[in-house]
Amino acid sequence: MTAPASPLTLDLVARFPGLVQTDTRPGYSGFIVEKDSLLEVAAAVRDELGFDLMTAVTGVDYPPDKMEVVYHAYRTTGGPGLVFKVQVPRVDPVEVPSLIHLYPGVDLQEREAWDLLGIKFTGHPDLRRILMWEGFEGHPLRKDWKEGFYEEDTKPFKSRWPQGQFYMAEDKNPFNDNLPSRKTSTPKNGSPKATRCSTARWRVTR
Amino acid sequence: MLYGALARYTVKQEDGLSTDRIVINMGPHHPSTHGVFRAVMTLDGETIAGLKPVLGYLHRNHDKIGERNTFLLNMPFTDRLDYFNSMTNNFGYALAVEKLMKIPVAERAEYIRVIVSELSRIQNHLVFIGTLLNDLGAMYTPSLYAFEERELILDIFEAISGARMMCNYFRFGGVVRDIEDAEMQKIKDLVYDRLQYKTDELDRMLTENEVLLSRMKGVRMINAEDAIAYSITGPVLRAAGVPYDIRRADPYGIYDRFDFDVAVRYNGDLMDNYLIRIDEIRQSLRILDQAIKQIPQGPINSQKPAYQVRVPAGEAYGRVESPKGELGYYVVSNGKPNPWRYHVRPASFVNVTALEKISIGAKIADFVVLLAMFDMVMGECDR
Repeated sequence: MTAPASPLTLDLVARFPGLVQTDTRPGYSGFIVEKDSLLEVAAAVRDELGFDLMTAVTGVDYPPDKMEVVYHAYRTTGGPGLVFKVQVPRVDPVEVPSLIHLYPGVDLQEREAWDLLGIKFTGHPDLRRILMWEGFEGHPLRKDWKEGFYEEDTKPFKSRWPQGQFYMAEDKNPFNDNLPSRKTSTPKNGSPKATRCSTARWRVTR
Repeated sequence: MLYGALARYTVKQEDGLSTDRIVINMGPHHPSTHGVFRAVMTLDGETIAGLKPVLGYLHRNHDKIGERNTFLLNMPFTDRLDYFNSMTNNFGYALAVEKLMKIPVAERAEYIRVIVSELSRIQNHLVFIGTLLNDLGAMYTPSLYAFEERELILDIFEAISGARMMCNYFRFGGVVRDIEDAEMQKIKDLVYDRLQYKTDELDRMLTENEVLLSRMKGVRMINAEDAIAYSITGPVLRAAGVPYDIRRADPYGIYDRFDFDVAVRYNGDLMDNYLIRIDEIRQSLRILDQAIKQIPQGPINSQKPAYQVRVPAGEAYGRVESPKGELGYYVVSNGKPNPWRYHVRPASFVNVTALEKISIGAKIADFVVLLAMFDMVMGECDR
């Protein structure tokens, strides 16, 4: 066992050599923790580093091979947060240890991640669906789950302009001032600002 | 399965007598639950012995729809989370995407953001006080006093953004429309000549009220250790004695330039939870006073208006102190026009985690007020 992690440097990699890595993907930050040492690392984050407020717990689906659980912890004394992640293979059952005994506040958020992403938090005493109903099949936030009347993964859907015909919404705007770059002329029937009312009625006599 | 989770509470052995406890459902349609929220509880006489919140009646899978939308299309969609505070909802999302895009925010827009956020906080707390009094049985009269002020703030929102509630006002790098002089004059009139006196009036009218005192003073809510452990944020955490306000603890925007106090109360009872809202209205007025005086002229957006913003790959977590607590957006981009992952961390949803802890041992008549103190909005909670 190495020395406790320093609250100043937040160097989890030195504290847990081999178990924690820095997230090196471009644009990402934080630490990637091995699944089996998550409870140990989270206990150190809470007790040694002082991140007592676990605010956000969520999952991200990275098909085809992995799923990720993202934890955002903060200090109630202020300052920036600490992000740590667990990556698990995307094969059912996707299992991650629950942090509910360290941070009771993750209860509903872990249930939400189970409900929507199908990440099973082992050790959670009451892991039921929370937002979808009991008996719902599948986990909607997984990338391979498609809703009814599914069209495409991303908007705007092609069916919305069948022959390549479409118009911009602000072309129908009589004032034509929705976007400054598209403004053509001043409206004929007067600006809405002409009807501004007096503010005198707001004043309180005292 | 739900009732199974409550089963351990149903029978009590005492002096050889077995006593059944009653399971009741409060909600999903109950005047006090502020939307379609259901609490299944077991009662021992009038005392709550077990409780499970049931959510999801308003669920529309906001996160999934958000993944389908382009980045800009999500901006009006965040209005629909906490529909009282579309301004702060926009703020959190704009922060997250600006972090990803690594763009600055125009100076004037920063001040406009603060002004509209604090106005939004004031009207939210006014509605809170109004509906709290509704829940306590003072039907409509106090809430109409509160709604009168709220209407004036919504008038300003309508004047500057075009909509009273679904404002859709923020853009990446700034805001969509400028506050012109006439509207700024309205804001000044409201802040300097009206709201502070009306807050005092509400304070005078309600705080010393005997019914309010007897219902709320000394009724336990939660202590500081439990509040932190259960990830409670916002006024409920501060009323428990933890001076944690993201505007101070981890300043976003330009909140580090303003001089204000983090409202904090130490008893953690219902009365403190009510009083802290009035404290926060006064602090918001202090921020507004400084922001109105300091606001510079200039452009309102650092970027050119565009339908499609270019967001580099990466992740970002933007969080703001919404009137109900911490509102966070976790956005993952892979360089495409749509976010790969768009997660909302709503304050109402996470605060409800502690409802079970808070309610066990409380009286059922107090439960209505305990729930009201979370200031829940189901649009945000169920998403």
